Amino acid sequence: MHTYLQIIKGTIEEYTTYRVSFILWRVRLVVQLLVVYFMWWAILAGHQELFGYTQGAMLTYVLFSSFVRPFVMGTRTQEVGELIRSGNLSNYLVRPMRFLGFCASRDIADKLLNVIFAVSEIIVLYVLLRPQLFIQTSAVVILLSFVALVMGMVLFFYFSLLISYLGFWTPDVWAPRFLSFVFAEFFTGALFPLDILSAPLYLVSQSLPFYYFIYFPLKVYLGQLSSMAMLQGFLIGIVWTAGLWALERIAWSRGLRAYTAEGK
Amino acid sequence: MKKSILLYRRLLIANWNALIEYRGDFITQIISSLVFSLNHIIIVLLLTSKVPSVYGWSRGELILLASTYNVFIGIFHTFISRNLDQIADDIYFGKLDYVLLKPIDSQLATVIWKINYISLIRVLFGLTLTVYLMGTLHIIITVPMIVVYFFVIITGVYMLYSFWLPFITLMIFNPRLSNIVIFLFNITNVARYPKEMYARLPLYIFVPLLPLALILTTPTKVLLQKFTFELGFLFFAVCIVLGLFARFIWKLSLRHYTSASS
Repeated sequence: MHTYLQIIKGTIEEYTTYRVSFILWRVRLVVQLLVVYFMWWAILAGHQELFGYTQGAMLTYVLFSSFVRPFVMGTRTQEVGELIRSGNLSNYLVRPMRFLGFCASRDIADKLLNVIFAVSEIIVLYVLLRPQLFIQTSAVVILLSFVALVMGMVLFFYFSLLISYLGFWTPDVWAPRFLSFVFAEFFTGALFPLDILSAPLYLVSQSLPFYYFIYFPLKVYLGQLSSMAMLQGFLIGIVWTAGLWALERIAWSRGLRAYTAEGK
Repeated sequence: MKKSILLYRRLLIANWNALIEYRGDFITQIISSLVFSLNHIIIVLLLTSKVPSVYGWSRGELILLASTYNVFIGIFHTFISRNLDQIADDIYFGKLDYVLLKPIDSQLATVIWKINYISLIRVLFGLTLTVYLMGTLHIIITVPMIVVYFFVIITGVYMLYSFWLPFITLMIFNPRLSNIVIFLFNITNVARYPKEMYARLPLYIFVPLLPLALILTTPTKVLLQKFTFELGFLFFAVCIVLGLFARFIWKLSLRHYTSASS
């Protein structure tokens, strides 16, 4: 445990070593958020309600998604593909720690930093923009949304790892990762709530793991899901998590057999 | 002149050979490019499905803006962005010397080495969609319109290059800005939306983003026959100022450049 805590500490220090880079990273995320915020603000201007959302509800969704997104999708697992390709994975295989534990520790550090700064940025933006925010008051709902958040986080962790493990069999992981990023942009609910999609497309999105990354935790928080829909969501999410975990284990053991440390 | 053309021809062939070396990778990149081209169009279609207009732009006009974005960004990524990414790497690793020692203008040398053919797919997709949309919007395409459109697009590409270059040269002063290119890719996304959307921002945010707000809005307005003298004047004035500024910053930065061996 002490080893993994040190990895978390080291990863945080890595981020804060190059302060200007770190600031640029945060500025980039704030600009991304502002673009989506003003896009929705422009679309909803002059309308009481659109797609079943008032302006306040939509802007709450957009602002809070800027918190949920880095928490769930902030990851260092994309480095694993490069480690495999370059042969540097060997350095980690000989160390007295589990590689999965190492990746998870790096991710926890990334998410910790993201959450701290995302909360501060949202507070600053709230003071500047003054949107009508919806604040959840039910403790049960808050607890359930936290559980959904953690489920999304674990799901994304395994999903991202699986993409990186393609490095065992292909020299370039960039294109599959890029494709997954494009699908994720559309199907996670980062840009818009998924229930504005047509019914068939919404049904498709519910069966994909992306649904549980951002959209599901936010909908739970907003209290816009019935008990049945919530239960269904949690069950499907758990099935996806278990499935991706199993796939990750299989891919890891097969990948190690194929691994030749070619870069070294 | 003949030598330069022959040299550039060799670069074109070398880049093509590098692209098709890994066939599987080549195919995946084509698919990624197509998917990315479609992504923004689909999002615009979705978001405007129940809204007749956004900031004075009708649904058709917004999709035309999105298709122009594909043309614009395709050209930018084909000829410019990978070279600037490479320059950022060269500055970080102290390898810019090899570029500076070449017998050509150093700023020109920043943009000629790499050609990303895959991004031409976005250009083709964007042009096809643009022609289709012009038909649905009942706008007649004329030769002067096409000439002005491409002239404005190329000027916009130069404007975006001039916007990116000063940021890249910051690495000469602080080589640890390793994520500056990713930052610029994200900031460039601002250009996807109409200029009018940003007019409500505070001046200190709107003014730095003005070049990005103009680079797509202007060529789209050429197609929509809404190109005014004022817009044209603003567009070319910003382009000239940005171009001169980028040149000045590049020359100033080179005086402070210290390579890895110095």
